[in-house]
Formats: sequence, structure tokens, C-alpha cells
Amino acid sequence: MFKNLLRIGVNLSLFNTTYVLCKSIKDEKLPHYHFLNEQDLNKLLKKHQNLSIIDRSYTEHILSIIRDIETDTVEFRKNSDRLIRILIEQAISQIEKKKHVKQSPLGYYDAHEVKFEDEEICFVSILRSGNAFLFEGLKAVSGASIGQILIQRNEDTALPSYLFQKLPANIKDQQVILMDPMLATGNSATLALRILKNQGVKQENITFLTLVSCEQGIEKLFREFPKMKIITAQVDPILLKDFNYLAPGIGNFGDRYFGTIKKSQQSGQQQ
Amino acid sequence: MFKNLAKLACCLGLVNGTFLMCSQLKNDHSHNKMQHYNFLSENELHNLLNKHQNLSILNRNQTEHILSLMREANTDIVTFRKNADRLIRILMEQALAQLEKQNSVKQSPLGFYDANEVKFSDQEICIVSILRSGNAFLNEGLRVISGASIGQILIQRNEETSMPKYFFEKLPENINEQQIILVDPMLGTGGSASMALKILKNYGVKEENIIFLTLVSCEQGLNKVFKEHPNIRIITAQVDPILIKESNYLAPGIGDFGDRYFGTVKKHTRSVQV
Repeated sequence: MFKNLLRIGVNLSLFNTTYVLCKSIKDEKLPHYHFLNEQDLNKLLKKHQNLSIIDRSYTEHILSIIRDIETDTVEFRKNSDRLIRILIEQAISQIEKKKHVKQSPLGYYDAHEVKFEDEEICFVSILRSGNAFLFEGLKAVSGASIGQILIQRNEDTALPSYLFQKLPANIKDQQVILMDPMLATGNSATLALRILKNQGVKQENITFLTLVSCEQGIEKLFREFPKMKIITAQVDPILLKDFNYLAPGIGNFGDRYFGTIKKSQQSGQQQ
Repeated sequence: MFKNLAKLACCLGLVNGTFLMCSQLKNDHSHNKMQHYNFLSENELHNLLNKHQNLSILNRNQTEHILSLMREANTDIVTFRKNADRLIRILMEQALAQLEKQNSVKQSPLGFYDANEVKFSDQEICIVSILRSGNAFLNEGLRVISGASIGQILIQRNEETSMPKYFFEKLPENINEQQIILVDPMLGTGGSASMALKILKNYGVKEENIIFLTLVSCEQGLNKVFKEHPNIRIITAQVDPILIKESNYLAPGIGDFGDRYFGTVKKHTRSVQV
């Protein structure tokens, strides 16, 4: 058990220099995590009306590649971008629309268009990992404004620290799409949402996008902000207590996407 | 009625030199004379989906805004292309979601998990474009499946007879072993699509390995293609209610997709009275 924790710690680059009994830890000792089944997911969706989980057929291939420890940076980014695009399209499809009548080359038709201009939509990224969403975000909504909130999770306590924010002056009038790849304890997201609330943003105008989440995180957010919307690509079964990482999870998304994985030293035997 | 047809033909760039009684056709009159097309209701769409098990129609929430911008006659080319690309991307993701997957066990940084991945590598997937309009799909197609092979079939529709005419093809040698994603933005009569599918079948491609992607279609086209090729899959963004008999254009439609995407819309002069 302790060996497993050490091994996981090494994989997550949580330790700088590690003296691990590497030779005696074989792969088979790591647990095999099973995803939530359709029933569990349906219960979750019934419990939280404002929760959307993207259809499995779209996401399982992509997520499998992202989760795979062997996946290199290029493939990781490419697949993350694909998945992020899917999430963003889903977020946009849920934004309020209004009707008018417009003219095609052949005649008139009922036009159903998003009620807001590009500029009335604000992507708020929870730095650093949330920035990964901006590339695809701007491809889909090229005129959107971008807000940034820097929150770093203290690795020892798992509590978030607020460091910095830069938001549009009129953010309370905007449709906000808040982004962070992982939703684990929900502490960072909660902090960001409180900051938005302080700026006058209404809950109903916030959609939170996340790649992988877990039940605990979802519950925490909805308890404090019941009227916001959450869209996630998949809900993982476990939140590991010791590290507050999702399992099977993706590892450290920011490190993997931005290529800042620390190469840990795996030296000889334990002293 | 004739004025409407003439005006339609004008908008579609079908008539080269047009002598129209333009000064008499004022805009406010033509507003009343041009038709207002209503989209199919949820019921009608359900009937269609029940009739054709291999048909998928994208969720209206995702497509109506984008399609509205594309349909609008005034939309400039930059906006048209951007929205076409967005919609094509959504269609491509749906096609990939329907490809066969296989299970394995893989390792994440924290442990093992059940991996369900598409059974085929990029190279085993072939995007076959029905030139010229189909080429619009290649942009986004290659972003999603960067290692896919590309096949091309040139079929042009004779504007007068609406019959498809075959000109040219270039397909990978081993196409009979590949998963095919056949692409053409519009599905009107179904003539061109059907011809392309016959060509693919001549090469030994099995129907079950073909997914046909189209932005806007109509019931007649869908019926024709499924009748001749019942085991293919079709994914469309929206089904338009009408196929205009005289021109075989969809209504409300998008106009001529190829001209609008590639910027080759003919500018016609409106001269004086006849």
C-alpha cells in the first residue's frame, strides 16, 4: 500500500528525488479502476438537473488516449483539443437563443440564433490548466473576451490559494464559460465562482466546463451554486484521499499539456 | 410565379445574362412574393429516424445557430467558411463516435483503466470527397484525423437535367479495406451521392464500412440513397422540407454551397427593362 502511494507519487512528479524500491514494484500491484456504469451516471444526472455529461461514444476513445501514461505531448494536445472543442460546442448549444425570420438565396426561413454577440461571451480560465481551453475556445467564438483567475492548489493541503485575477470590467453583463480541465475536490472552482459572484455575475449565466470530474466535486459546486451549469466529458469513480487526485484520472493535466512534466529521479534502493 | 423562378435563378447564379424587369421588382414586393419555408417538426423528424435506422440527425441545439448564419443570403464569405468549418467539425466528431471500438486495459499515471478506443488507426480511415463541394470537409477532416487518406471523385450535376455526370476519380489502392467517410455538403436528389457510392462498391468497399456526411439533406435524397444502399450510415446536420422541382435545389437550403465556400459566386448584372 505504501509502495503504491510512493509509485503514484512518482508518476505525478510529486517528489523531487525518490528512493524507491523500483525493481520490486511490479505493474500488477497498481489498482485497476472501473468506470461508473450507465445506472450510476443516470442517477447522477437525475440528482443534478444542471449537469451534462457528454455522450460516451464521443469521448471514450479520446479520453483513453489522454489517460494513457505512454501518450506523448503531441497526441495529448491533439486529443485534448478535440475534446475541448466538443465541450465548447456543447456549452454554446445551451446558450439562450432567439428567433427571427431571415432570407436564404431561395426564400425565407425561421432563424434561431444565439441571443448574444461573440463579445458578450467571456471565457474565464482558471490558470494554469484552464488556459488549454482557450485555443479551441477562440476558434469557436473568435470575438469572445477572456478572463483569467490564477488559483494554485497547495499540494500538501489540497487547499486552493488565490493569486491573481484579470476580468473584463463588464463581466456581470456577460455569459461566462468557466474552464478548468479537472474537477476533483471542487475547492479551486468554488473559489473562482465566488470571485465571479463578487463581480456581480449571476449563477444562471455561468457554465463550468471540465474534462474529468468526480461526484464529490460536482456535489460541492452545486450545493453552493445550484443554478449554474456544469458540462463534463466524464465522471471518474474515485477521488484519492491522500493526493486528492482523480482516479484513473489523467495525471497532472497542466504538466502534460504544457510539457512541464518534472523528470523524477528513480534511483536505486531505498535507504 | 415566373418572376419568382427568375429571381431564384438569379440568386443561384444559374442564368448568365439576365434581362429582368428589375426596376419593377421592388424589394418590398418581392418580400411578399418569396416564400417562407418552415422547417420539419419534431414529429416529422422522428418519423424519418424511425423509417431509416441508419440515419442520424445532429441535435438541433448544436446546429440551428450555425446553419442560420450559413443560410442567410447576406452572410459574408469569412463568416460562411467559419461556420461551415464548425459544423463540419461537429459532423466529423459524430462520424468518429460511430466507428467500431475495441476494449483493452491501459495504464494512467494512477493505475489501470478500461480503454475503449476506435479499432482503426488514422491510416485505415479514408475521407472520400465528392468534388468540388466535398473538398470543404477536408480542412476540418484532416484536423481531426490527421493521418487519414483522401479519395476524390469528381461528379458534376448538369444544371438543366439535374443528372449527375462522372468525370474523374482518384482513390487509394486498398480502399476496399478501409473505413470510408464520404462527404458532400448537400443531399438533394441523391443522384451524385448514389453515383459515388456505386463507384466505391465497384472497388469492393462494403456498405457497412461507409458513413456519408452531409450538412443539409431532404427526404427524397435520403430515401433514394437508402433504397439503393441500405447498409450505409448517413449523418446529416438538418433535413430541409422541400426539394424544388424545377431546379432540384433544397429550400430554404444554403444556395450553392461550393460557390459560397470557395468564393466563386457569379456576380450578375441587373440591366434595364427588356
